[in-house]
Amino acid sequence: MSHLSSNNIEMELTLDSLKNIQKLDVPEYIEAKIRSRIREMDISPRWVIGIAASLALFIGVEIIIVNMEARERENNVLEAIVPNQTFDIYE
Amino acid sequence: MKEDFLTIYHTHKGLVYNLALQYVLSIEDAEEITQDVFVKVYEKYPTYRNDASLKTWIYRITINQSLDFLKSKKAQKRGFFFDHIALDNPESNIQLPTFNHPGVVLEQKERLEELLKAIYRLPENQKTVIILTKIEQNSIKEVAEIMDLSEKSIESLFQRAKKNLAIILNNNKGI
Repeated sequence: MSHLSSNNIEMELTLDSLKNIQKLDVPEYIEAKIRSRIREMDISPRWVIGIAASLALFIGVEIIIVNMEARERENNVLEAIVPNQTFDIYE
Repeated sequence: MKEDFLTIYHTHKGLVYNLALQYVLSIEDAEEITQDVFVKVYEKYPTYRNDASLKTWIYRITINQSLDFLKSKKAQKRGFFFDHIALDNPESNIQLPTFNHPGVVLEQKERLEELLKAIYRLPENQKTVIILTKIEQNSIKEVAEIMDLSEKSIESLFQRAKKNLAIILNNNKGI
């Protein structure tokens, strides 16, 4: 029992030496690195939104063009079958 | 927010950097963790609730970030399976970091290095209790608040940590 408690005291003393570890100052460049990471973080969502909006616009315009071309093609086919008459298949 | 953040940074930078250093024992890694912690603080500050003090909240982020860093570092060095065994068994042969801790004064370097490396090998919660009480000099009550555990649990973790440290240090002497 006394052996156990002396071990405990010894360990306490060993652990007490940890308070001698010196506290260090933070290097100045850490702040600059954090600032730069935060700046990137703030900018990146705007880029993502911008790219997504451009992509949506491009797809939208593409769909309209494809539809118009399909409509024109079908009109041309109908006009070839019945000449001298204008058709609009969606009317 | 920017002004608030700068105030938070300048008030707590020392705490974060030195606490991270006690976990990872390398200034390069502590610098990386410090950056990660403050980027996280910046991100999460709008959702920070006042149920814990700002200091406690930053303590928690730093501890989690440091432990995650150690886990990812261990996982890189070993397989996933061995990683889990190591966390549960303080005697297992955990790969120690390259010791680069300028806070350890020269005349005690050898003894403190051995002790810090032994602490490094403890399971997560025991390691945290020793670091917070013995290096950071927090009271049991403060540690209980930071770790969100009862004071009794902290006392018990502390006793187990001491027992495991004695085992690790004795094993080292035997080598």
